Amino acid sequence: LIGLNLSSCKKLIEIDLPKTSVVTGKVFNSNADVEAALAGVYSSMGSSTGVMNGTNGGITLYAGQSADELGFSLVTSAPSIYSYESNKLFADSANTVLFWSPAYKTIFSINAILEGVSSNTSTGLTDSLRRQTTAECKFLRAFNYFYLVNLFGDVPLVLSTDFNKTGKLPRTAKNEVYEQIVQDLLDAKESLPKDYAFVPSSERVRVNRPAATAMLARVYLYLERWQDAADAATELIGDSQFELLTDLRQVFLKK
Amino acid sequence: MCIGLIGLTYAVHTHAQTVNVSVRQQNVKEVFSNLEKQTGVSFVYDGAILKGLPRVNIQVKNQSLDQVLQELGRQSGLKFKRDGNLVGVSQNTIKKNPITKQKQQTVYADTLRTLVGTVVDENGSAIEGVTVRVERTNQVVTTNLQGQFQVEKARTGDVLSISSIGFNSQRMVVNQSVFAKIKLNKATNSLDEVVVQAYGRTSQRLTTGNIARVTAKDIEVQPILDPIMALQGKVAGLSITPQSGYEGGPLSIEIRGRGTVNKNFTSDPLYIIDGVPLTTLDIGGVRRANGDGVGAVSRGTDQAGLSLSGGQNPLMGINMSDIESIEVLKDADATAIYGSRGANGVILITTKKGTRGKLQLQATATQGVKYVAKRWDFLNTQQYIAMREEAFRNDGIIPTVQNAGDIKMWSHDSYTDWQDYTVGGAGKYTNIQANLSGGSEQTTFRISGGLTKTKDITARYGGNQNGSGAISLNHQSVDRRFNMNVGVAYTVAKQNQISAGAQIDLPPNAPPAFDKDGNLNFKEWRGTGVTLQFAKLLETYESTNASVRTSMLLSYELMKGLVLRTNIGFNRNNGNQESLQPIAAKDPMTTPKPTGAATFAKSSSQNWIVEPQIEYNGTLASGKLNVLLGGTLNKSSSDVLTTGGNGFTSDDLLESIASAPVVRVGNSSGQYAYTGVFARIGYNIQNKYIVNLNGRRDGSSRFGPGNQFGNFGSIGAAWIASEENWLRNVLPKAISTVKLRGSYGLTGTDNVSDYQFLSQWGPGSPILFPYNGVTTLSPLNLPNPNFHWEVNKKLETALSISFLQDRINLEGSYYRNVCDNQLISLSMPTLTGFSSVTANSPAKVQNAGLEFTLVGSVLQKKDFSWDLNFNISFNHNKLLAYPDIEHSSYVENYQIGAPLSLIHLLQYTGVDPLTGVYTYADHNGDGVVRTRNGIVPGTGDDDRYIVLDVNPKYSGGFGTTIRYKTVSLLATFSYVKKTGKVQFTSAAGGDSNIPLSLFENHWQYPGQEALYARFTTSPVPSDFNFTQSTGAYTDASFIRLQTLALGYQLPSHWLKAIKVKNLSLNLSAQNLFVLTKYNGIDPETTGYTGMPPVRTITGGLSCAF
Repeated sequence: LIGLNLSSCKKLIEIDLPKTSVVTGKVFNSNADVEAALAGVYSSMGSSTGVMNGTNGGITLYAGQSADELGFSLVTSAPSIYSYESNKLFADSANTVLFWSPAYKTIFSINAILEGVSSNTSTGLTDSLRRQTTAECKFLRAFNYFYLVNLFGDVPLVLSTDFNKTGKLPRTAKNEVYEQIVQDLLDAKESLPKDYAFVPSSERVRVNRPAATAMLARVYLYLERWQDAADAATELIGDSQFELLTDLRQVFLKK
Repeated sequence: MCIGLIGLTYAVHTHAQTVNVSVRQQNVKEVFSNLEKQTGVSFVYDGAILKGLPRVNIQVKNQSLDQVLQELGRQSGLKFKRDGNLVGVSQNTIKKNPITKQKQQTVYADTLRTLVGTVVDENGSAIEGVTVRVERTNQVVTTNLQGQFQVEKARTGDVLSISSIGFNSQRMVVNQSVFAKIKLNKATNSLDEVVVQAYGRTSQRLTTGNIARVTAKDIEVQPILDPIMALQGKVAGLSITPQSGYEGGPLSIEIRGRGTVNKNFTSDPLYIIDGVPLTTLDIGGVRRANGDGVGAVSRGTDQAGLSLSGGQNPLMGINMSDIESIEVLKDADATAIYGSRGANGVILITTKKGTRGKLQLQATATQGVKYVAKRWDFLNTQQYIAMREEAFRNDGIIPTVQNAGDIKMWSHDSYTDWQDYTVGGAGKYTNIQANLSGGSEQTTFRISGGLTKTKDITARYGGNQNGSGAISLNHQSVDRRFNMNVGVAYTVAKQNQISAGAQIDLPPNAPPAFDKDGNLNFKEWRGTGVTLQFAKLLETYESTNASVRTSMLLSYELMKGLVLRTNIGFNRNNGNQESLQPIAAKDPMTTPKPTGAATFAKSSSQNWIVEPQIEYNGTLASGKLNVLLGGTLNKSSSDVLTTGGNGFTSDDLLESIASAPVVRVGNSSGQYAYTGVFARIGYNIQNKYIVNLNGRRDGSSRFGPGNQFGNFGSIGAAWIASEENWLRNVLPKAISTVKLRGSYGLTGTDNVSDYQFLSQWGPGSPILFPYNGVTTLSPLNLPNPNFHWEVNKKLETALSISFLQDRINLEGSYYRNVCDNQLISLSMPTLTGFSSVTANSPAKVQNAGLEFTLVGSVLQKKDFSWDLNFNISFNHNKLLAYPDIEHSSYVENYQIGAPLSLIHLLQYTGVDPLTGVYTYADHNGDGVVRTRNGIVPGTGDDDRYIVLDVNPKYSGGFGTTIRYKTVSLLATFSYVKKTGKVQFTSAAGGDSNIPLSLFENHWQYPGQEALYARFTTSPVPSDFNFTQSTGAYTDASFIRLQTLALGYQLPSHWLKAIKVKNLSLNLSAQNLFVLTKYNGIDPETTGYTGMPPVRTITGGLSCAF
């Protein structure tokens, strides 16, 4: 009788699932929701609070100034931005957090998707999308860590959504982070499609195998693994899909 | 029992058996107590028989008690019967004796026999559940539904002790009859009056917990709309802080201090109206930070967040005139039966019910005015211009049209007190109430209706309108076994608001805010650098909340003492809100051309509860046993749909959403389910030793699987020491009751928002753009399936002493509440993906304190009565432990061993006589006075080493009611001893007006010792630091005359002619004065913004037919 009572008690406090959000269990039951979650990762990186061009321009602006591909003249009115131009950075610079937090927020979403698609066995999510999503996520995780190690050096390597594990994570040595980056890119390269046919209307807005190869080549260069870098670059140069553009204005088009 | 026997022996041995009496024209009662003192005997009698007896004269020396009694009997016409130490007193004439109304049939003398009796109230109605105890044998019986009881083996001369909650106890001597009819008088003292407790009734004498009660007579006289505000200063340990000056705005309520460190958690108690909890879901956990920055308040019925008051109190709309009493339950014993929801205390609201008898119509009409109690005393135009010119001079700047438009472009002659535009209006208060009640033996009813309308002091717009209709119906079956009470109330609360206060410090020489056509005067203001801020006067907010509250209590007595009961309730609130930003409020010369905007919200929330219960009342050995078992099932849900329109090109179409070129829509919802089983066991031996056990097992939908259920409970005990003969014999005569009680227990809180344990995905915030045509989903929270109940351990001990036949009652209580396993929004490093997670923190917070309450009727005469009440509470709040606080986000705010309300300040060292700037102590001696966020204050380069506790040191209230014939005067005061912020903390000299006191005491020339810094137009860090220094804090203690009410009841013989039963006139004033050393408009309003305190004066007429 008590057992009966307990299970019926649990029923009594059951409530409907939230109306204006989707619980994790449901997200990874459906192709459409998984695609939406992945779109969320891409969109967040480019959003107004995202890592790449968030508040005041994100990494694109600050790293661009640091590397002198962008110039900045408003020395007195925005000294915090000018400090990147002059490469005089301070630990408590208010702008530093603009790269740190959005990058890790994006990494959280990526880890959540990786965990979600691997633990979910529902037939609502097709195997091909599962493989494709995993590969894209690994690429994007490598991409974010690549910027993090280059901006901050040793950084905590977060590979889980469990705050109990990650909450007190110390910094991981830069070379270990690079090992993870390389591993993620190799995994991505293996599973990603070789062209843009998988993207609706073939727009070049998502990563494919050549993108992973290109990223690998760049990472190897930073690691001074010259031969690996040369091999990856050679593979890409040999791909007939791509050619060198002469007009810079053609670079950033999605087709 | 042992104690009783020893007491008896003691009495016999130490008291003389011969007596000396010398009295002249004394009343019999005095003679009794004289004899009791000398001999140790006790006189027992029904108080009624002493009425109208002649005064007696007795002069005896060394006589036996029996001889004295004989003489006393001869003079008074009383008859005495001695049985050991007891002397039964009855009337000598058999006809008049209430106990032997039936004709004496048989004289049983001293043989044992069965005695049958009936207990009735003053109206002759039977009273059920009365305890009848035979003092000789300690046999205890209770009366049945018909008020009957039966005592076996009774003997002539036995003393029966008869008691029932809500009635004065009585002792009666069994005479030679086999029948007894006993009439109990309704208790009129605060000790024996009925007090509502969780799932039942008790009295202050018998309760083992801490329950404070405020009744209709204290609530009705206050011309306010919010019933909770009526408790201000009346309950020790209850602090009520309005978060806006708007009536019906959110209130921050703390019972015995703040237990949680989480700034986003409310400290709201659980509200229960006629057995039905009033649950307001804070959808998505969105709350509003409260004024002192250490807590949050619920936005109540304004879940869309559109109101200017920052929320709407869900209790607004409950008709104040329908409230019978409000009980505040504080300790574990009183609250543990509410389990997981009782941790912050419980407020029970009980509405009025119908009364038996003739149909009675009562009507009241009250009309009054409201106005701002005190205005800011600002500079006039000349002083203002002098200030500005001096500021520019100090700065070495030459004022020009460009940098000083206010003194260079505007007239130096015009003068406007900008308070007239905002808070200077004359408010109004109108209240009309009527109710009809009556009924038969079986059925009673009460129908009431009311309309309360107020106009705010905001000059152009704003006010409240509450309408309500309520029906309460009681039915009892002829055999009295089935009882039903149904209550239905429909209320409509309408609020109109505009923003008040923010614009009152504009330059006094500024041109009018409105031009002669009634439009905002942008033309004359443009280009002066001063913004015409009166747009807000045109931006209106309107809300209507219609609610239905129903409750039904059904009970059936299966067999004597065993009752089945079910409490069923349903509430629903529908809200409509509208917030408009018309084009007329915007400067037409701006580009692009301004457009209008409007936001609409529709909300609904509902809540139902079913609580089946079974209760047993009976006797066990020589005690009375009460066992209650029950279950609760409760579900609540809320939905809000918000529609906003932008880009309106005509103000006439603002309320038509179809005319908006851009429409934004949003919705949100929440659900909450809660269930529990509870039990209470009470055992009462001779109204002397009382034990009470509560247990509850609760489940809440706010927790993840495995953490949903929790166990709570309490133990409470009371010892009415004055019932012990040995103590009674040594107690001074003036002390009538001494009671000790204590309780310990666990209660919980599930005060997190719904769905927090679930990992959720949604559009994100800010909403992300679709990516390549695909709508996005992002993780919304850091899920934690493991958080569980917050635990509150409450300890309380209390001593209460009553004087003068229980007319005056003084209670002192000590409590210590420790809040553990705190549910908080735990800060996380952002590398986890989010900055916080809902989790249990190991933080331990203690609230300990003392409370004293005095309630008494000092004088109670036919033509004159005088009642007094007083309460004071001292609460000390302390963070006991917080493991690893150095690595938490609370390191800046909290300190182990210190109160949560601690703030860190610079030590202010006065105005530098040479330069006229504010100076502060450079704590670390680095040559710079600095404040820095992110580190422990007072360390590193931060100089804020002074800590200040802004919690009140003590607070409370006191009041008195004096009645002479039919004139009564009531006055209630509330007081607080605390430190608060000074009225003005920013640098003076800019294009804003300042208080006159500042102008008169500011620094002007080198060498001057001044209170305030020099005037400047370009403040420097020392100016900004002032607000974070000790200079910005001052004594903000006060005593406020909360309510003053004068009532006059017309003599009834005048009224008979016009067939009116009762006609009374009332004058009432709210917030008539404040005694304070605080230099400002009010110690509770320390800034310009918001609505200042309002004074309300009303007159009313009330009649009954």
